[in-house]
Amino acid sequence: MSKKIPIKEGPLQPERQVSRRSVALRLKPYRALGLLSPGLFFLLLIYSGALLSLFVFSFFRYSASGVEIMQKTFVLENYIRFLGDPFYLKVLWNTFKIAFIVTAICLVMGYPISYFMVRTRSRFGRRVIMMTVFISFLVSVLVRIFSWIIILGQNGLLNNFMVLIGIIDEEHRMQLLGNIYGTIVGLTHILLPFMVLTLVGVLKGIHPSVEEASQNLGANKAQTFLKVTLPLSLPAISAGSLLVFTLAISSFAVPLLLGGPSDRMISNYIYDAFLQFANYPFGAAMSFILLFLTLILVLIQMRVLQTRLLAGG
Amino acid sequence: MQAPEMWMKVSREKKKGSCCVFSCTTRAPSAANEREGLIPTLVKENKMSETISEPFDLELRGLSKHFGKVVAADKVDLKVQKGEFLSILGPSGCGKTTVLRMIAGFEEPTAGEILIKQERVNDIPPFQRNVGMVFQNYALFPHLDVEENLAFGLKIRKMSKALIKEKVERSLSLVRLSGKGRRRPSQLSGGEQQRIALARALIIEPDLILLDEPLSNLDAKLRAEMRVELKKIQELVGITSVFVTHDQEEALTLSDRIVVMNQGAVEQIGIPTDIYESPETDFVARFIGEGNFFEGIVKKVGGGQAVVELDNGRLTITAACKESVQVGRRIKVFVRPEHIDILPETQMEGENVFKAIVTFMSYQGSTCRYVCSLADSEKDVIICVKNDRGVVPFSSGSPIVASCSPNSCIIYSSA
Repeated sequence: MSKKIPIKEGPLQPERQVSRRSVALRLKPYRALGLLSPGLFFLLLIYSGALLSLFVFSFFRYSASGVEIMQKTFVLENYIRFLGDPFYLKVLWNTFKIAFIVTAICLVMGYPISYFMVRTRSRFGRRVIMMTVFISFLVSVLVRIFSWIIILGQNGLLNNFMVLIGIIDEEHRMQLLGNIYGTIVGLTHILLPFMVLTLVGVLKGIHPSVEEASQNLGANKAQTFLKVTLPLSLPAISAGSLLVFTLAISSFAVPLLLGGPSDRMISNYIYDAFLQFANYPFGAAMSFILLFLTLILVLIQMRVLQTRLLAGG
Repeated sequence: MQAPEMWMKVSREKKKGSCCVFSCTTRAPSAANEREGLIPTLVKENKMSETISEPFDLELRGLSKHFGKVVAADKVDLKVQKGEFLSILGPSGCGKTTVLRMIAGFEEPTAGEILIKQERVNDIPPFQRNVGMVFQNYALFPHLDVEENLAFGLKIRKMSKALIKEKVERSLSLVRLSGKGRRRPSQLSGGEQQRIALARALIIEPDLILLDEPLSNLDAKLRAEMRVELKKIQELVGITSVFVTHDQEEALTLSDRIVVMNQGAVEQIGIPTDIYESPETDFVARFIGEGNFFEGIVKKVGGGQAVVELDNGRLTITAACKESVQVGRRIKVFVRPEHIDILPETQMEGENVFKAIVTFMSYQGSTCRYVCSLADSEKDVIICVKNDRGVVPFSSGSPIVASCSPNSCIIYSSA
């Protein structure tokens, strides 16, 4: 693309600028501000205010014995404690591992669902899937977690069924709760709809004629998927995966209720620091380490998307 | 030295359900050159001689497609000769695109047969039919650049890199886009995208090419340019083409033959002049160009002419007809606006001479279009007259005398 040489003076200049403005910006500034301010106030001021104070806390010193819980100093000991302790690094690693597995499962299960939803000609089929995906949004996370306890428990539906049809015997009932399996199943169930909805949103933008063109040029269905559909789905895949991943690493209730003591995730420790030990500085430091790592992931994803956009237009 | 080219051709012997297998056949260099189709004179000659002797490149036999209760295509019979440019013309929803998609293999026919080069392809999946298609929205691969788009079909056919490069370059120059090979489709204008879509379909050297309203997304001026360009390339390559459009002007200018479709069924197949001058059904007459319809009752038949009395009984029109028209039947008489002349006011004798008053005049440069109301009827008549230099057109309100020859009046039975 050739860059236009900016014209410094000329009668056409003001008119052109007006025509380039988008419709949204044609609102008078004070009116736009009026409409934007409640949301902006809520998001920016209150939230960043809370975040900022938490950030300050993370450099304070915790004293369990003192009159005040926090000594207002500037120390890095909270961060050093976390990053220097193999136990916490293990927690961090575990958190990312679970989040990664959950994201991968959600992607593998969610992609076909989304693809079918976008491509099917049957309105009935589309509606059934849409309902199934949405209903899980309507049910509270806690209810869903307890349903999984009923299903996965030692005397739960799944174990009973397996014993009944003789796949496992009475003594070898599967331990599906209180470990990583419970967490993964629960998180996958909760986060799958997020994956599906993100994928559907982007997959809709891939026109079916592109796939038809590929077949028309001689590519069979597998080749068409690998050479056309998949490359074009990459923005969808990266957006959906990022969303699911960030939601998974910050999950709290699922690892608490379905996971075991050794599979707790970082949010559980943040909760403990704040509410069990009232160690605000350490809790704040852990929160910021999590936030920082998430931010890096978001930046990487944006970067990837941007280069794709620049290259692909 | 030119080695015999390894020709990748889709094997048609494969039964339904088998995976995609390409078989290789070796073609002699001369045959390959002919297939390249880049030598205009040679191809032109072929086209002329083959129209009579060569068998059909595409044949549809009783092709039907039902979507639930909707009949999208109803027993379509069609034969397309080698090198022919055939248009399927019809209003939106007439089933023309469905027919095209069935030929490409994207829709399964409910009934009937599709034959490409005398072979039944009903059970052959789209990726094994050697048919090129240009989509309405071009369907270029947005993640690939122009060269990669063109090379797509060749890579699938596992051609050597050198050969692919050569073909891509030749193809780019064919559509006059050399030097834009590294651009992304989104960096091209609409007309350029269109040409790339055409080149991408042609580069695989298909048995025939299907064009699904390829010009409809372009603005009017570009559309006219691309029309010429498209026809040039088609003649140069000499490929059998099936072109779907709802634009009659496009169909009339581009086609060797036109198929007019309405509500899934074929109304008429013929060369453009036949379609325009002798429409077989009143649908075709109404759909192509402008026209005047008069409904009336046959009063007298004889000497190849019928005298038709219009509804109010005060006007009669004489129209050419076959002897089979029965007296007393309700019929429609159809006349093109340009087949009606405006006579000097004094001349009132002869057949089909009517008094009228101009109610609306539009000056269109080379012609003038009048809307007139007939003196003894409520009916409006549209008349189109060629302009002569220095002759002042009639203004609205002026009385005129209109006349048309019985031979330019066509009769259709009234439903």
